This record gives sequence, C-alpha cells and structure tokens, in this order.
Amino acid sequence: MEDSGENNIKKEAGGGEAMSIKVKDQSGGEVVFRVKPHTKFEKIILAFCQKKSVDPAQVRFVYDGNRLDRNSTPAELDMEEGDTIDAFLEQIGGCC
Amino acid sequence: MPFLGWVADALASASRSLTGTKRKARELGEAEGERDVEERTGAVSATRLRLQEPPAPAVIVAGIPRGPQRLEFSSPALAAPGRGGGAAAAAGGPASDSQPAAPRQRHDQPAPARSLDALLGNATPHGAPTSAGPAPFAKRFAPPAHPAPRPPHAGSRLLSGVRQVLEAPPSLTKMTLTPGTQRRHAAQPLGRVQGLFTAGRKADCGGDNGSLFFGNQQRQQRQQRQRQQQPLFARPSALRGGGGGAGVELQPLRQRRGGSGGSPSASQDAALLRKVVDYSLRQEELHERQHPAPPPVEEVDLTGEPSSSQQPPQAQQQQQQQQAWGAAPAPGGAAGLASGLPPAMAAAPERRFDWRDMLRQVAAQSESLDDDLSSDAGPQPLSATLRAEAPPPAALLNESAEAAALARRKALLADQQQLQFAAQAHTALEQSRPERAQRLEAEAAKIQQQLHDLHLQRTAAAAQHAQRSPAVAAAAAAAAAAAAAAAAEQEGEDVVDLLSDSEEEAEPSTSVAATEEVSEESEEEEEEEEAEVSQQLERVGLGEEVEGRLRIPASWRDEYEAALAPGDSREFLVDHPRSAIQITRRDIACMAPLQWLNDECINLYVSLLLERDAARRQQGLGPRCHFFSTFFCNKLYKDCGQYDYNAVRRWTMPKKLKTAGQASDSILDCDLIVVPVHQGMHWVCAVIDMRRRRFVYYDSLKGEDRRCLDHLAHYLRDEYKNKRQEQRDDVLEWPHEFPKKIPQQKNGCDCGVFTLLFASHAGRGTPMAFTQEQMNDWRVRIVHELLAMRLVDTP
Repeated sequence: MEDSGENNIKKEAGGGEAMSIKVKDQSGGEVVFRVKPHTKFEKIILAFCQKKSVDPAQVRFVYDGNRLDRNSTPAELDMEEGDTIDAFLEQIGGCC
Repeated sequence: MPFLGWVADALASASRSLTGTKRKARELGEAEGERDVEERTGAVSATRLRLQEPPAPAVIVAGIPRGPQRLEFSSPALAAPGRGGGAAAAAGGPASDSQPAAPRQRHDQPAPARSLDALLGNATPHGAPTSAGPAPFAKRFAPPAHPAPRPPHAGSRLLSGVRQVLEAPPSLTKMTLTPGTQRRHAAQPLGRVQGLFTAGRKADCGGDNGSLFFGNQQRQQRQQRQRQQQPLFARPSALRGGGGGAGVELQPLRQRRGGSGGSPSASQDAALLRKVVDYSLRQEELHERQHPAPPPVEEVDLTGEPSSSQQPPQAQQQQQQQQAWGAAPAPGGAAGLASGLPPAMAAAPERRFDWRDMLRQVAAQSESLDDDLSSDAGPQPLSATLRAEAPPPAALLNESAEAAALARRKALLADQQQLQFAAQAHTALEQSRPERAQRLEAEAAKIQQQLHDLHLQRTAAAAQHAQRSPAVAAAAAAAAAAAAAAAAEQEGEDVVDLLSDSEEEAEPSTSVAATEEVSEESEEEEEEEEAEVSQQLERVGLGEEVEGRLRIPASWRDEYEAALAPGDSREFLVDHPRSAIQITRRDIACMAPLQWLNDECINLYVSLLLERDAARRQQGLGPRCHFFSTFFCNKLYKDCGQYDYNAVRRWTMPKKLKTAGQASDSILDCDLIVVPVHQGMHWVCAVIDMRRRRFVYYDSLKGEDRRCLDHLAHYLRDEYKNKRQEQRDDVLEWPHEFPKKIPQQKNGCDCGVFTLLFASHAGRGTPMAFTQEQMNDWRVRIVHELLAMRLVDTP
C-alpha cells in the first residue's frame, strides 16, 4: 500500500515513469532518449540537435506522419515505450 | 604590359629566323632530316604515333623550362634526348647540326615555345641551361647564324620576365602567354594553356608548317571559342589532366577537339542534363540495393541530468553521426544539406526582398506613364484647333484619357511614397525604434488611404470631365457656326443670307446634339469600364486568372513584400496549429522570385490543401483527396534505401489522419492520393488516382521516375492488405502515366510552385491551367494563402 501510494505521488509530481523514445535520422541512426511522459518535446529536439550538431531550424521532427509540436508531450500524443520520432533534414528543390 | 610586347617581339623574331632555316632546309634536302626524325622517334612506337600527330602537348611542356622531371613524364622521345638532339649537339654542335634538324622539329613539334627557350639560352650572358633535358634542344634550336634579337641587357630583362611568368601561378602564366584570350580563361590551370597551345599548333600544322601560333591568333581564338561553347559537363574531365603530365592531358584534349567540330547545341546540353539526372537516380537505386547498415543506437537520459554519464563517448559519437548525416551542416549554416545543395543555393536564404527594387519598378512605371503623357501632350494643341472647327468625339475622349492618366500617375506617385514610407518603417523597425516605425507605418497607411481616395477621385473626375466637355464643345461649336455664318455673310446675297440664318439656327443644335451623344457614349464607356473592373475584382476575389495573367490584389502584394522584407530570420510569420508547422521569415524567403521552395512551405500548403478538401467535402464537392507530406516518400523508400511499408504503416491510422486534417478514416476511401516528392533537388507531384485506377507523375520538367510510382503501387497494395485485409494485387497492374501536356517550368527554380499547383489543381479536379509566366504571381498568392493559413479557393 505504501508503495502504490508513493507511486501515485510520484506520478502526480513528476509525470510518471520514464519512457524511452527513439529519434531516428534519415541515415537510420537512432538516438534513444529517456524522458518522462510530460516532458516537452522541445527538450528532446534540442538535445538531439545538439548531439548531431545541426541547427534546429533545419530539422523536422515527424511522429507517424505528423509534425511534432515542440510544446506538446509524449503523454499528449499517447506515445508508448519505444516509439520512434523521425528526424528529417530540410528539403529544398527548384530544378535538377 | 610592356613585358608582353617583349615576349611578342622575341617570338616574332624567332619565327622569322625559323622560317629562314626552313627554307634552307628545304634546299639542303629533307631526307636527312627525315632520317633524323626516324632515328629519334624510332625508340618507342607509341612515341612515334604521338609525334606523327603534329601537336603533342608534351612538347609544350618541354618548351617551358619547368625542370627535367616534367619532360620525363611527358614524352619518351623527349625524355631520351641522347638519341636526337642530345647526340646531335654532342656530335656536331649547334652550328653544323641544327639546320637539317630544325625544320623537322618544327614540323613535328611546336617550335615557338622551344625557340623561346632557345632564345633565352642565347640571349642571356649568364643563363646557359644546365639541365640535361631541355638544354640540347635549346642549343639545337638556337640558330647560330642569327644573333639574339635583343641586346644582352634587354635579353636578361626578358629572361627574368619570362622566368617570372613561368614560375608564376598557372593562371598568371596563361594570361601572359595568351594575351588575346586572357579574360576568357582567367582562372584555369596550366593544363588548359597547354591545350590552347596545342590547338593553335594543330591548326597551324594543318595548313602552313612554318607559320607560328602568333600569326594565327584568330584561328586559335576561334577554336577556343568553340571549346567555350562546349557543354559545361565536358569541362571537368577535360581539365582533369591539367595538373598532371602531358600524356594524361592528351586524351581529353583529343576528345574535346573531336567534339568541337560542330557547334554544340542546346539539345546536347539537355541530353547531358538528362544524363546527370539519370545518374543521380541510378545512384539512388544503387544505394537502395546496398542497404547501408544503420549506425549504432545511442541512448540519452533526459529524465535526470541529460546525458551526463555519457559525456566521454559523446564527442566520438557526434563525429560518427556527423558522417552518417552526410555533410553535416554546421549549426546555423544554411548550406551543406544531405540533399546536395548546389553552391548557388548556399547564399540563397540570405537573399531578401529589396525595397529598392520595388521602388525602381514603380519609378519605371511612372516614367513610362510620363512618356505616355508627353506623347499625349503632342496632339493636344491639334485637338484644340480641331475642336474650334468641329468637335470630334476623339478629342473629348483624349481629354478624359489624359485626366485618367494624370490620376494614375498621381496614384503611382502616392504608391511610391507609400513604399518609401513602408521601407523606412521597416528599416526603423530593424533599428528597433518602435515609435518611429509606428509613425511611419501610420503614414504609409494614410497614404494608402489617399491612394484609395485617389482611385475613387479618378473615376469621378473622368465622369465630371465627360459632363463638362459637352458645354465646352457646344461653345466651340457655336463659335464655329458663327464663323461659318460670318463667312457666309461675306458673300452678301439674300438667299445666302436666309440660308445663313437657317444655318445659324441649325448648326448649334446639331453640334450640341452631337456632343451630347458623345458625352453619352463616353459615359456609357465609363459604365462599361466600371462594370468590367468590378467583374475583374470579383474574379480577383477568387484569385483566378484574367487574360493569361493572375490578378493579384494590391493587399496581397503588400503582404508578400512585408513577408519577404529583411528582418529576424527566426521570426515566426505563420504558426499553423493543426500541422504544428511554424513558418519563419527565413522559410518564407524561399517564396521570393527565383528561389527554391523548401519543405516547410510545401508541407504547410499540403496541410491547407487538406483543410480545403475537408471544407469542399462538407459542400458536397469532390474529389475526395488525401495529401501526404513531402517526407512520405523519404520514409517509404528513399532514406532507408529500400521499400519499407512498415515505416509508414502508422501514418494512415484513423487517429493520425484526423490529426493531419483528413476527413476520411482511411485514405483508401479517397478518390485521389497526392504525394509531393522531393527528388534530390527537384519537386514533383505523384498522384494515385483511385477512380481512374492509375498512377500519375506530374513533373514540370517532364521527368519520369518509374521507381517512385512502383513503390507507390506497392504501398497501395500493402495499405489495402494492412488496413482492409484485402489482397489487391491488381493495383500493381494499374498504368503509370507521365503526362507531358502539363505546364512546364522554363527556369531552374519554380518546380516547387509547379508541384503545389499540380497538387492543388488535381485536388480540385480542375485542369492544370497555369503557366510559367504566372509563377511570380502564383508565388504572391501562395504567400498570401500561407500567411492567411487558408487557401483562396476554400469553399
């Protein structure tokens, strides 16, 4: 009983247990982030961009076909353990 | 450059001396020389082959005293001087031997460069060649009968000058050696120069043996021009051998010369371009087959202190990742994307809309109007005199046209002022002076209001003028009638008098009637014009094209200019909540004319297309469409190197579709599935037509990517299987279409706009009615739609 109570308190305070979310770049490289469900994606995005040494303005994060809102959280998108976010570099084109 | 003159003089004198020796040699008999050459070239058969072709580039290398090692690599014949020149020099010395040998030499190899060398050897009091390689040639080619063309001091100056040139960087050398063409080949390596010399010599040897390249500058230049016209892509290969030995140089040179026979046409260029595209597609296919192994997975803990425990390996991993990401762009760097950004694009995002350009345009417009006015001013006195006699309707129309033109000019001036104020406002904003900026903007708004008033005034003035003009015309007509009466009175007869009386009564009335008719006509015209304008305005409201040109309201242009104006590149201009896409000033800058579109603009537009589609469906309009983002094809097959349905399986789950804005629960319910595809540096639009059962590939450059449609066909089959549990292998049989009678881009930058328009028109089920000429207007409209986050044709 004491354990479950503690867990409840923890969930309320810290946003639940940590989950791992993968960020996959276009070459197939993956970075796994351990985050709490209520951590904003902005944190993941910035950590990823720092890790890859890329400008955040040039990377697009897509979760199941939809752009990731920086201010939303894994919990808002009902993300589950091990879900993958795709990172795409800016695409540009005009001719060949 | 006086130095150039020296070189020219020296070479000219050398040519004189050599033609002299040539004549002598002919008299003495060529057999001896022939044998000499046989002896020299007999060593290596390949060498003989090369020497039979008159202009072996190697020789030019030999002519330039760059050191013996260069000679060794360039031509075996020259590398073994002992057989020819060396032996000759050793046996008889220059005086006895050079005469028979020289003409053959000149025939076989370009003499001028060598003779320059020889000349140097002779002319310098101290500078006798010491190296074993070039020295014998120099001696043999120094005509002993002819003294140095310059006094020693001049020679030494010449030598030092030539040395300076020869030891200078390649480009400088080239510039000096080919004075006639220095501008055109300003930055090319020495190998290029060798080529030029070779070409010149070849031309010479084909015609007159004795003539030197100096006398053939025109021909040389012509050849260079031909080479200049060669397709761009041929050049790298031709230049590849430039830094190396002459043997390497020779092959590309021949190829190049063979190509220069006919002047290369645009079709050749197009073919080459096509080859390049095909090559890139092949590379992609190859990449697909190879299945690159994915880099190792890293873990970062963001729950506590992010990645504190993994600090040491991080740097290493970072490096690995940088490699894995291709040319990993430095933070903040716009260029160097994995997609292979062309160098021209590197600076492109920096290009901003320039207010001055706009002002210049307006100024030009008002100038042209001025011209119109001045040309109108010409007939004005004429029309006045005409009116005095009888008022023709043209004069009245002319006058009202003038008034309208004046009003237009005023409007333009006001427009200009407004622009200036707006520009000032923006610069003030830049300098972070909000009060002043606000004031200026307020002034700009005021002027805009004035502009509007002016526009209203213009029509009112024209109408007033039309009303006023009958009175004037009537007065003029009365005067004319009086004059006529007076003229009639002068005749002095009763009958005439009576007639004149009747005339006096009759004339004014008719003239007034005529002017009234005229005024009515002009009023009618005005009304018609107004009706037309209002019709146009209605059409403008829809943003549809009028007479081949897209009508863009002034407010859209203002928005466009404001969005493209310089400012904080990270400033968010659009925040679209549904798609979570935020468009920054930097992103919108790619909508400026001639800029390449980036994925953000296209994906936001796709999102707006989805919203339009949902709205159309509510109105019962078809077709039902789904629009994928530009990342779909990347995820489906491009990035991982092979077709992978699972990578996009979850993209079309009902919940995800709803998030995207799709009204249906499944894309399989749709009539059309539109996929914008990023083809490296090109945007195209692929469409799955579910009703007509076919795959269509809209490419504004008439490209055909069958692989893309193949993958889409497989995707559709797998989607049926996964979402509907239906085995639909028939979709693989659906025809693939690459329509060619669609609007084509005529430049290298508008394919993104074309792609958006293909998607938009397909999604509306309307024919592809747009042209390259409208692209800048379409850009304005698209920016308006992006900023408003709503497509103009949304019901």
